[in-house]
Amino acid sequence: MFSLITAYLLVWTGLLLYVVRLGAQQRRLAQSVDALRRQLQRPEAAAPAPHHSVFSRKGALT
Amino acid sequence: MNRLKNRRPRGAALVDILAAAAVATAILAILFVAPTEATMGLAQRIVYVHVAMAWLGLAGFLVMATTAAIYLARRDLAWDQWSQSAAELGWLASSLTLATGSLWAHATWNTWWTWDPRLMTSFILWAVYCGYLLVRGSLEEPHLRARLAAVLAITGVLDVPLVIMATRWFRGIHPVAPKMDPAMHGVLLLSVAGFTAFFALLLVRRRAQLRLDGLLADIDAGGVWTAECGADETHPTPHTLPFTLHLEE
Repeated sequence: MFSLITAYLLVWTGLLLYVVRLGAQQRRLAQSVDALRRQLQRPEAAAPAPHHSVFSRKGALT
Repeated sequence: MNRLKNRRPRGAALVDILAAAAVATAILAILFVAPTEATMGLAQRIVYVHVAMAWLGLAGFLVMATTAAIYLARRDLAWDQWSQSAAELGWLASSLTLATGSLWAHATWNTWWTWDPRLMTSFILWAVYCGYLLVRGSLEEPHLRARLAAVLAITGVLDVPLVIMATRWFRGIHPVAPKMDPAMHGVLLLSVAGFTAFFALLLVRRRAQLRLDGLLADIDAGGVWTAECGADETHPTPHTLPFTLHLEE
């Protein structure tokens, strides 16, 4: 009985941890996309950007 | 133009529900349908998750190696993303195979571990998974990382037939393919199918994350990109990713 319960607990804990990690990663990505979207919506984003900007090479959005 | 789209893929909810239902059905069948084995008792029920995890560990390696080979042929990082996703899930399945197998061994053989050929080849498979993920974690340049990881995956896949055939080719104590009650066999198949559906869903989700991560890294690196947002778009949710971003030459 101990082996059975431990085996199933291990499997579900492993899967749960993976899904939680996936969720955390998803939230991080959603925040990055949100930040990018805010940056795109700013009027000054259309102006030539400094070299460290994410759009520095093009300098403008089309 | 509206290139930064925020749409939930069609049928995503249905796929989630189907995968959850498949695992739930498998669990219910393991608990209430599978008969209790006469000599091993309740410990025999470990086999329903152990076999499912072992299958997923091997399948994950095959997916990882196949997509790695396609990456080497095409040099397209999309295939490397599939490879990484399969490796992560395969490592998880392989780890759980060893853990549940060890618990099963303790209940039946009265030992946590023995150097049986099947156990040894399964351990090697897990070690290759670990090596693959360590190599990936230690390199920054995407194509160099993908190339080295692909070579490791393709070399390591040679262990897969050894794991499968170990009980037939070499003498050991691991069961070959024991005859089972039809009800037990049915539950085992259901468990394998249920967990496979769930892992397939996780594989697709993880790959979507890696794809978006790659796109954001490209933008951060200062590539020439164009993207636009619609005014009516809502906050992104896990189901709305990945976005479609277009590279402008």
